[in-house]
Amino acid sequence: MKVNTAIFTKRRFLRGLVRWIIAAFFAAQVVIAIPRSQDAIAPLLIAPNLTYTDKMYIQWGDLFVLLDFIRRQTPPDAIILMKDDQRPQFDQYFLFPRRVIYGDANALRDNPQVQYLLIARDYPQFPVSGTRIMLDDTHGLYRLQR
Amino acid sequence: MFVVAFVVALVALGWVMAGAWTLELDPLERFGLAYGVGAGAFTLAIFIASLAGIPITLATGTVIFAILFAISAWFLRRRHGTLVPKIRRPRLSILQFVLVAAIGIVLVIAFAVAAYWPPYSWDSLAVWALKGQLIAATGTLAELPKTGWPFYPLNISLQIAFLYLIGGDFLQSIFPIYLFSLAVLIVANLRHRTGLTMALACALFLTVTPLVQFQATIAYADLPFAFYYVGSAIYLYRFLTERKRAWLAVSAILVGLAGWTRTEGPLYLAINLALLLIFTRPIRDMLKHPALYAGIFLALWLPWTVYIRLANYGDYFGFAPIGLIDMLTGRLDAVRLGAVLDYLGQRSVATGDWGLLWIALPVALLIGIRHWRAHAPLIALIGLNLLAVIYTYYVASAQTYFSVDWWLATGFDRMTLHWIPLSAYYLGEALGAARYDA
Repeated sequence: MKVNTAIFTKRRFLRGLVRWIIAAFFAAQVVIAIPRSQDAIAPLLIAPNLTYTDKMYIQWGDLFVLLDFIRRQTPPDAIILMKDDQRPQFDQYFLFPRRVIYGDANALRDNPQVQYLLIARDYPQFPVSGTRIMLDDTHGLYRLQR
Repeated sequence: MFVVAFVVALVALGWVMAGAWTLELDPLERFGLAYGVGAGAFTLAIFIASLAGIPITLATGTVIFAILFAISAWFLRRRHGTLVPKIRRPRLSILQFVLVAAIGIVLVIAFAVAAYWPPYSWDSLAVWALKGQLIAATGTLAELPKTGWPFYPLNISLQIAFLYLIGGDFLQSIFPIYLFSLAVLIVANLRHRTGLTMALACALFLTVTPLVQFQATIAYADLPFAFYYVGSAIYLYRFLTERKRAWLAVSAILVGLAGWTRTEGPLYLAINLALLLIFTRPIRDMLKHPALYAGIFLALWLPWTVYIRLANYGDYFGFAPIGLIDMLTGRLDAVRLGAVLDYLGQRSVATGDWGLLWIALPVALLIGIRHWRAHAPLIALIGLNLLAVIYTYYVASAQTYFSVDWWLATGFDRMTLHWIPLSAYYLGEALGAARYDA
């Protein structure tokens, strides 16, 4: 009996081709992932002992420095008046359990329980009497005298 | 140490619960489901207990855990199920060993990175971790309105709340567990259908996808949602191909827990129900099965939904039908739809984030074309899920004051995240079948 070897050769070739395509896809996917994994693991290898403050500074920069300053300078039950910055949940997370109220002179008048007031580049734009506790030239806190 | 104890306790609870549902699950499937099921059931029970006025503390959490565990163990014993698994050492080929080692390395990196960083990304802080922090501090849900998007379900936030209660360290450590569980679930389900090597290769394909890797290291709800939803999709597919009623129940429970994780749950229930209606045979079961499925989903989804309605926390529910009505009445905004499709096109070639998924998928469709009938429910699921994401972005940007560009830039990748494991599972089915053909 004569066997058609061409069919077997073709089938074997196709089988090999399919396997190679599949293997190549999986291998390429792994190769693509390597740089991302290296980037992710790099901070752990370079600076394994960073504190919480250092890590948050890396992620949020001066914004975290300011919120951390307010947290350190105020008691846990403090009520703080701040400029409306469109990120109340963010402030709440870092300053909890302190309470934050947003607004201007009206908010200060309407909330006599406010003890601290944020100092920022363009805030407050109304007269405030209190002790200034500064983080830098433009940012700090008023401890209000009421 | 306490974090490890917390995770082990939830794994044990999920292990017992999954065994109590059905003895059809093999040990590896039960293990894959364990953390997600245990965590979802525990947080839902905590939420319901808090509605009854029970404070959310470590003590009440321990009691509720013990009650859930005892009830589940009792049901498991009644079914003559095993509480402690018999572990047999698997015999792996060299290639399989290499694949397991590669998956292990990726997961170890994810665990290390997640443990290294505190929650730092925007939604982590403003939504999920903030809720957890407030719940842990007050022992109630009373402070939820102070958080961003208070109507988002509490599965993830309550897990974080308990991590706060046991010390507040490693708050992101639960997220790589969901990736680990997803990988185990894919291997456990695929290995009987396509062989262990292909199953492991697909799990590796999933775990190394850069977007998935990143999401496993930040405190967002999208990877946990992907676990629950893809789990539901896999068991729904298995129900439609194997006709075992147990898979329908497992799928319904998982989609219910997906609804307890992210607010878009009903949309994904609708996809699964559409699939059930299209593919259920015989015809007489076309109402029975969807009714059972929706009933289980509602039992898990309604407590939170009723609560946020009564508390007037707002929601997304109104958007979906309004958008659909707009489209059906011919008020389709072609420019907006074009923007969504354009963005989708851009992301599909972003291999730095998506890997080769968008290329691998059409190749797999082509290679597995001979099996399209057998894979039809899975292909339909992938297609419907892609349509759902396009629809979500079209409708959300049309119904809110945020622009379509803002919506796409802030969330498209992570909202589409569940599409990656779903596609990886299909890759396994299609390539595995083609390999057997060859």
